[in-house]
Amino acid sequence: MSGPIVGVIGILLLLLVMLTGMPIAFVFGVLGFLGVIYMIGLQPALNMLALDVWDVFGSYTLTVIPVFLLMGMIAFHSGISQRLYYAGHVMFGRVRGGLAMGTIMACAAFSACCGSSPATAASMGAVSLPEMRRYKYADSLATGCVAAAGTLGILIPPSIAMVIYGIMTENSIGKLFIAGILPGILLTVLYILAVAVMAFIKPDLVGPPAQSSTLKEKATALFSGVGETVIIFALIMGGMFLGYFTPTEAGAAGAAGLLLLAVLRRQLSWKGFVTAVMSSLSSTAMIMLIIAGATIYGHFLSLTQLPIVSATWVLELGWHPYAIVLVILGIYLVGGCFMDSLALLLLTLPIFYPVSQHLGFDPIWFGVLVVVAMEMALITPPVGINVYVIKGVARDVPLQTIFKGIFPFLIAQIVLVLILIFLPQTATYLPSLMK
Amino acid sequence: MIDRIFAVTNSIARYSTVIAGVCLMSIVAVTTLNIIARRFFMSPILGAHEAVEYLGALLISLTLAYNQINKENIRFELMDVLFSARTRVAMESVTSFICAILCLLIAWQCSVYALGLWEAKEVSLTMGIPFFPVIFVVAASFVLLALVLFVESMKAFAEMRK
Repeated sequence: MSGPIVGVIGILLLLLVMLTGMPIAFVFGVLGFLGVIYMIGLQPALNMLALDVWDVFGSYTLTVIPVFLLMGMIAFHSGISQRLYYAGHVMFGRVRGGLAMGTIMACAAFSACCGSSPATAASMGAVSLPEMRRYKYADSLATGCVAAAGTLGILIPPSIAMVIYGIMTENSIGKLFIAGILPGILLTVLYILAVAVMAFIKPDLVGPPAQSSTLKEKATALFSGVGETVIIFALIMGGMFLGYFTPTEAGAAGAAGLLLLAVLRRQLSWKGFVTAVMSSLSSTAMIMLIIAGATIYGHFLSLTQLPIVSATWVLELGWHPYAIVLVILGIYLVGGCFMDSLALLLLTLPIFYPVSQHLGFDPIWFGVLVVVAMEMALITPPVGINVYVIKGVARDVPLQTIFKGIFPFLIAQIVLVLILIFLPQTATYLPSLMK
Repeated sequence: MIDRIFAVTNSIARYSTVIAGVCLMSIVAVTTLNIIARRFFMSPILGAHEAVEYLGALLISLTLAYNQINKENIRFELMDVLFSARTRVAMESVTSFICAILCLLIAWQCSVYALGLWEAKEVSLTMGIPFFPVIFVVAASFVLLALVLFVESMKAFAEMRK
């Protein structure tokens, strides 16, 4: 049997074994190990196990993951989400649909401290949903807007998805982070426009405007709510942009800065601190185990030569490069409906990344595009994890109502994809200025 | 017997996670102090890079068993809809056993790798710290994870036979 055929069978088996409910990290590891045995024998496969696990666990570059996770968790447990929401509420409350707009702005700001979409959706959902429901916002709009805005967590830096993309494809994590800023801002604006359009077309979706606030109240809410986030974001992104920090250093400095601020302002209890550390450890070990499994599986796929053969095959099709990109995005969108977005990324990158490079695409631009595709996967049924996170916060809202509410924001994401395709500078301009 | 193994693994996993937490905070402290020392005193902390690598490996491996006990490892949840409760338990028993074998193989190979580095007296470049103790901890963590998975497999098997 030829190598590429073995690779295709390997992928089909992977999808099949995932159905058994085996943790995804082990599915990658077990099938990758068996695949390598089939391709080159038992002893090389055994040797590879230790080397791959140690390469991942002992990697300096990957320590960026626990520090950014810790930063996000400290932000969550020290009540930053409440202050950001309050600032958004005070600033936008008087506008039609203003609470939803304020929530989106708050999600974008929270994403600047937190690199995880479910964490962003969970923390902002807990704060904003009761308030929007109190002001008689339709459940579909309220839940849909938080679930969708939560996806900004992996586009606006720091982003765990970009860290994983950077490591799997050996691209600069710092450049990827900086590349996510403009598309992140753009998507925030598109989400707000989506709310405005919905409020215009169906006024009953949004409740009455909130109470007006004085200029002093607005200034206080803005300073106390957004001030610390702006300082931390400027510190970590500025440090990376100017070449002062590595991404791990930026994350550690951000976590230390947030922790210091939270302790000085007495906003973080000991229990909150312990929970933040435990959550960061849990997520880190979960992600790292998947990366280790995917590394073993990636070696198996390389041995089958499937990535190279598929890249050559795609080129021989003679299609327009952007048509191929749209097909890749379509696969992410459909695949994301059935599979966890992290697993999907790790499974597909060994195939799609070489294709994108053969087509001559900028790797940073392609990374941003893939992350936007993952954002779509996070909110599309039936596996959209952000939707389930919001369902956990608003238990009485049916899942179909949340999915219905997602639709306008999905259109906003598609518009962003089109902008990225026709105006790639949106993602590549800022990284080109980096030192 | 199974319950006893479960209690012991649970207890070790809990203490391991406390050490992992200390490792995480140490990474933050070492890295931040290194930035301050480098930017303001023009003198970076010697070996900070290596220390972070070692601490990173420790924090991940020491959390593995805790994560499995708390079912934190993500899996495809469609099986909950597709199969009956009995089939799910049967599959859990088999898949947990297979995962345990993989973990034991990783532990064995990590030990072999660590022994090789010990014999070759391999040390880190800046601080001259040997690699092998950390890799032994990684190996031990995979043994613990294998035990947790083995217990889960046995429990599922017992439930299936009820």
